[in-house]
Amino acid sequence: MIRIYVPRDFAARALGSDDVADAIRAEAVAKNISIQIIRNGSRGLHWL
Amino acid sequence: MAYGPVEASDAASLFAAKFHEGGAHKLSLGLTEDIPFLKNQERLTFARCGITDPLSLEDYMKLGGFAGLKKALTMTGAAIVAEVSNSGLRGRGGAGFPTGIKWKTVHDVKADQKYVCCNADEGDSGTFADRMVMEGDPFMLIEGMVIAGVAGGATKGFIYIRSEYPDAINTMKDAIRIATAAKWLGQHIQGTEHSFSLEVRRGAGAYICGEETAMLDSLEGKRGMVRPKPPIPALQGLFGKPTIINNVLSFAAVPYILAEGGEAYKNYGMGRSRGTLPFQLAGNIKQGGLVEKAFGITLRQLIEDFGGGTATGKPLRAVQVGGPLGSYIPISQLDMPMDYETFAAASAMVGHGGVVVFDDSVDMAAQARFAMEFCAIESCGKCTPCRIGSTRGVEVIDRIVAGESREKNLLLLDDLCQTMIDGSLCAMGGLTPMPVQSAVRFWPEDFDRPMKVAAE
Amino acid sequence: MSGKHTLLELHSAKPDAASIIAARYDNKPDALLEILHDLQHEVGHVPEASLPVLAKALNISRAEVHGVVTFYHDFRRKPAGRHVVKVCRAEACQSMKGEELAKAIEKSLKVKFGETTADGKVTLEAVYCLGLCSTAPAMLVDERPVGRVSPQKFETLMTELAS
Repeated sequence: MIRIYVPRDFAARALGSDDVADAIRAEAVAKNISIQIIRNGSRGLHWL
Repeated sequence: MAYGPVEASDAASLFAAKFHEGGAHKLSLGLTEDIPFLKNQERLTFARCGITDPLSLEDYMKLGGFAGLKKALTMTGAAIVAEVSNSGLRGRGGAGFPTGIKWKTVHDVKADQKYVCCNADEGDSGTFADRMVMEGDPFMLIEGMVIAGVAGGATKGFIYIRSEYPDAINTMKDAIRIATAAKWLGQHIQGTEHSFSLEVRRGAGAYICGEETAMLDSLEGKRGMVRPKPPIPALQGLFGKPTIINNVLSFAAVPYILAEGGEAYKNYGMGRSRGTLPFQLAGNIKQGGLVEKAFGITLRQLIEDFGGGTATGKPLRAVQVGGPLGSYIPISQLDMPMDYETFAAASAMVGHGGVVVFDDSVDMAAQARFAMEFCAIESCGKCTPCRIGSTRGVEVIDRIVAGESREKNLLLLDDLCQTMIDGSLCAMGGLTPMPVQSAVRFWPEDFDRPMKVAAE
Repeated sequence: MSGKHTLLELHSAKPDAASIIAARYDNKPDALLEILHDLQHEVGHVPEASLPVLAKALNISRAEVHGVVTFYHDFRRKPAGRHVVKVCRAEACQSMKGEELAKAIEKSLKVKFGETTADGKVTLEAVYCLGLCSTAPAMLVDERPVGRVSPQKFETLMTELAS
């Protein structure tokens, strides 16, 4: 199983990480790819 | 593999590029560890943050979590205090007071009840490292606080988190629940004779509660009024009992110190500033974020090498280091190494490591006015220099900018600042003059013309 | 009941929430801030009538409760709009044109900071730092953080916001 990390840090959420996680999840379901999304902390590269 | 900056609309193209198998994509950044911004850091406190699921104890322990506490549980309180003293750790909240001395005071005094309080009222603009610890690696903060409890003989702890951080509050509460269930908190931690329980308390939007004695009053359910010192909180703190008070980053540094030894931590840094500081690059900066480095790195390295200059691409004009009470630093001083003593000698402060960058559109008279205005809004009102001085400060700056007896009023402003420095009860009134005076000293031309935009 | 309520009964409707919440914290006076947060969360604000109820429950003076409610910026003594927008006005956000954004928002909503729009949809409040300083300027829309806000992005947010 592939693990995909999408940050849940406040700053990441401020830039839409909740939407990103949802979109990845939906896309994976649509393509029938088995993934696990882990909402990790941020490594502090807020400029990305 | 890292990808970014990812928007929700990129999901389809990422899958099309088989990113889940490491496929190439225009947002591909290569291996996370190899991104220069990360590769060139020295992450001790933030070693785990962003790598793990914050609420997975398994993840935490796989990457060295609780190694420090396990060791501490086999040591005497005095030995733990000695290890922390030896590391040279100084309060990361801003004042830089040696943590070991605080802990020793609490350890040495006899009392029926002692407390450990974590100051997570991270109100300084430009700072977010505490928040990142609480949201990204909450067990590390818990571990540091339990070690403090074991060291000082305290059985009860509070984390005072500002209400502006709802996610941090929820994550910490969840983490405390999980840690308690796994016997890392509560009665007989891991079967030893040590007990320590932890509770989260919310602040309510008062900046002054980041001052430790105001925070104590707030934790007791009162208005956050500053208390005169002495008595120091280590002897008479929360509910009048001996209390260890530290900032999130101070507690967070402790597990590493216990696990790897004070000596290992001390090997980082310069002069009397030992270890690392998680610097926070913020404001008008291209690559903002968290940079943990040993003391001694220069402001220029932080802003140019890590930060990539201003976000707007316009020339940098001023940098505020250390929060709203920190001095504005001009370009001529960018090569100062980040070190408590070097900054103090230049009438500036490292504080909590917040670095806020401004480009050349900034009006320094407006920034000076805001510093006074912020003090007027947030003063607890207990002492006169801070309560009244700040309001008068706004008025005097307005007169200076309006060109009303400029020379005379500049002298008056200087005199007022001196009164606030000498006569205030705490750092709020005592340090507000720092940004004001630095603005006048380095950018006098901004006080010699009408203000561009009046801060409200 | 016949649908006829005495004035006292009507008054006691909200204070009741206060005493229930206080009991949740064992009526401990040091939990006053927590109690007020919960009360505001459930009722929408801290009603005047709750103050004596809390004073009695926690066994402290009415002046002490009043003092705490008025000291902290968070506690609202009047009901807010259906949504609360908190805009950061501290230094890091100022460095990214936060003040221009603040003015644009005031103009767009036709209110000043601390006020609620005429239709009761939005209460606009200032906040000093959300810890989103590396993604400035920042704001909080209800509980949701938003970074790198521009006047245009703000307009989009407001359109998306259910009235």
